Amino acid sequence: MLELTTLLSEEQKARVIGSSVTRVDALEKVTGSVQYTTDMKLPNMLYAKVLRSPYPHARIESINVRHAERLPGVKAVICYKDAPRVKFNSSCPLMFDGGFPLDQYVFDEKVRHVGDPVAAVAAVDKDTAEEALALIEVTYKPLPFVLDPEAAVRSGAPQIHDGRSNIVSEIRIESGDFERAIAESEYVFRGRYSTTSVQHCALEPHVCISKFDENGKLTVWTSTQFPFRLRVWLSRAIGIPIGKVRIVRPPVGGGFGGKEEMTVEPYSALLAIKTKRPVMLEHTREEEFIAGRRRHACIMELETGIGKDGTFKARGMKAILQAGGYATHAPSVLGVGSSVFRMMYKCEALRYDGRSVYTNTSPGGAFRGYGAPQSVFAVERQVDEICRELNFDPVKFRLKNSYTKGDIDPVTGWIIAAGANEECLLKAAEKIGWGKTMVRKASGDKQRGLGLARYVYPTSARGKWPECSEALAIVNEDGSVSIVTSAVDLGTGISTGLVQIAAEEFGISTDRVNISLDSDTDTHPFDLGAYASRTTFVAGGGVKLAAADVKQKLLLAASQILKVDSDELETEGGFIYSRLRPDKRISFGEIVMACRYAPESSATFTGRGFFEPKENAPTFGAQFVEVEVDMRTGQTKVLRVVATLDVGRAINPSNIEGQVHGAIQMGLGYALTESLVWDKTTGEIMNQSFLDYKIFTAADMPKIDVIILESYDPSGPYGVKGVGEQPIIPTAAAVANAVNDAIGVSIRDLPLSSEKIYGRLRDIPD
Amino acid sequence: MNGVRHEVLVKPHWTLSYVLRDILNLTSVKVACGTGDCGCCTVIAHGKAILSCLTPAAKADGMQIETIESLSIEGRLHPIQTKFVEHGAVQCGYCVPGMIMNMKAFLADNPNSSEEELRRVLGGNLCRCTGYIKQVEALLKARDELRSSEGC
Repeated sequence: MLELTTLLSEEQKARVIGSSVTRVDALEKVTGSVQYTTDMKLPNMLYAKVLRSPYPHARIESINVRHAERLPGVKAVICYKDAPRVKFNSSCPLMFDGGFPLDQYVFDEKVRHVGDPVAAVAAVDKDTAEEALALIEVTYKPLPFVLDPEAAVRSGAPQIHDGRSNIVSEIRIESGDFERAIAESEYVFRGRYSTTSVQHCALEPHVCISKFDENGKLTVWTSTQFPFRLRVWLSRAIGIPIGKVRIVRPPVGGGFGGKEEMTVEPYSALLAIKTKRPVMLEHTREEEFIAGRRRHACIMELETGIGKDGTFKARGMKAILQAGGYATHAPSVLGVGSSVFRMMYKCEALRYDGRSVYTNTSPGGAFRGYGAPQSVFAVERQVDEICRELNFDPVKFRLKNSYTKGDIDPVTGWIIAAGANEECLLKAAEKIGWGKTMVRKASGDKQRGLGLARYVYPTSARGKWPECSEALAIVNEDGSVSIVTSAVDLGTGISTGLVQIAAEEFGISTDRVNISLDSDTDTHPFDLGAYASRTTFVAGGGVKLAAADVKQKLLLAASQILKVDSDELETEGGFIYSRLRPDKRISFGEIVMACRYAPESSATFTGRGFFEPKENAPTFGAQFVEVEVDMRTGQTKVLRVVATLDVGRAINPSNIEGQVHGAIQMGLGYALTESLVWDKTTGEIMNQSFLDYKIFTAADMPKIDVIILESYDPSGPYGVKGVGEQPIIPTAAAVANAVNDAIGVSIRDLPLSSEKIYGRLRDIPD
Repeated sequence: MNGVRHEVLVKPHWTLSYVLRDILNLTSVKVACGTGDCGCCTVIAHGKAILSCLTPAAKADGMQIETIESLSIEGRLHPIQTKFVEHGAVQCGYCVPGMIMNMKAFLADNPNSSEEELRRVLGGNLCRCTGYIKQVEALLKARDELRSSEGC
């Protein structure tokens, strides 16, 4: 069920914004006619396969590709001897000096995780390519390896990158006098909390097609979250000028952060250059698991001082993040984790000591929530323990200690301009019946419990990183409007949201606005990509400004055609008319026809909008969860979730609700069933399929109530804030708190599998 | 194949999903795992939902197969498709064709199914975007509509 609570004033209300209009891509998707990258077939297209390391850590002593090359149907084989020796970082960092190690090559002489690329083949079909992989002879010299991040920083641990320690990045924050505050605290809580690695599991795997033409131009059709950033780094990695690389993004079959990463593109590009034929490379599901990206596992030690009055006196966290064989996003994931830790609760004396660490595992990457689910799991689990121990009401304790509207974050200086933190907690509490007597004992040996968790999370990367988006709005001869933007719709519904924004600005219905479901770096204006819950906030701002820009042009033209002063002109329903003489009236289409095709009065009807938010717009939310635990088996069933979120302003409530539902599906898996497991003897991920890696199905999902709150943040268009990532952040903590409530045992390590709960109830070690 | 007879010479190891996608260009059939775990490749054969990625192509000899391409001929959508649109049950869309085909076959045989039964069958189709909530809502509405149109 969906509820909307608005804190908007009368004049902030709108016509199209705020209504759950039908998604613009719905028809193509329910008929199966939408074309994803994998559905494309170019003439003479070859299929690529990648040979991957079976070792977690090894030096390649020799590679012999001769037999593979001779296999009929094989058109090219490449390995480190063929690839440019240029270092990059596959997260495609926004800034070259932003603290991201450049530690990857397309192919290296050393492999650092099972699944690391060693060679690649292009052949006339997938079967031949696969067969050729088996003919490549590689001699490896296996090296000692380390999977555990704590072991990786001990002295004598295998060195994963030559010439540098296994520490990828470090963050230390110290404010106030932490040691003294701990010493003076009435109560001190210490605990070690851990989260595991989980996978995005977008149904569409990483896939791309590259084509290299006679003019030396490389076109890559790829399922990516960030076409322009990819273009910069692909150009660098394979040594082709940026202007000679064109990235086309077809509709994307799910991303969740996993496609904010350059993965398949360099291999298919190099093979396309070598063969002069189009080359498709698509990961299998197994490759997604072993060579895709994952959420970083994190171990967190908390040291927290609480005063008698129930306020925080000291907050400390020591965190160690398992980066994997390559750094990719780890430095900034650690950064967001530290910011979110800090912003969860007010406290003078603060200490954060975080490290991200190389391990011989597949690289971690960007994943919905970007470091926040880890920090929030530890913090909110401990808050639950504190409230239990000291008999504080968990809702009141959180309200008393959290940042709220008007507060300033001491470290970033962000002012919380608008925030419905309080409403998020109170409304959810009311909805789930917090404080009322509940039936604890269900049938048989089942026990029920209730738990909650809250979050704080930014909108966009504004603060430290660049933030901007450019859009075009073109008025057509029939008065319809085309929106041109490189904003990426991963399935979230952003295309529909941008259409609503344009319809709102022009005063026309949404069916008069066109947006294409794909984009092209050669023809679409600049956008940074789909990440950091930034798209409505930033790209939405670009579309709004583009609409305003072309509306000025329409008004100017109308004033000349109608021979009336532009001050007296009004816009409504695709018409411009004089307020004083309503019979003086002309449609958008008539204006464009009159001006575009008349020799004496040509004009442009392309509007340009460039938006750069000045401030961040922190978001708030809470989730309350009811669970039922079978005390005999340890199995947990989630009965109900109430989710509240402060979205600033709801553009499309139904789409927001969809984001919450999907995030909770992922969050429940993170809490209970999902976790990548490495074989300690081989370094291989053991659960490489959906059979062994369990995501929630329709049969497992609980009832979900979504309550949307509109607080209006002035930083972005219409008061919007981010929505896409946020609802996954508190879920695992809320589930673990509910399980604690049900069984009376505190579990600090994810996932809360049946085996773990069964064991903890009986004091059997994990 | 969607009411049209096709003759395809297949290799012994080819799967039905390969023939549908790569030979007959029915690209609605998605292969997201290749191991029969996700349900994206579901098509209907002789009225029953099958996983085309696990079905040897040679076994399809003489089968009557439907893919989602056959559902909306002449622009008229099947009630499941209509309800998916109305309820916002679609996000990235990659799992949708397989899901709709699985549920079409199920509802045709089980017009009086309960929500629990429906959820259990839908459990064979993985989705990572929607949490299945709006899909279940849409399917319940479609079930009711199909039932009333059949007059039972």
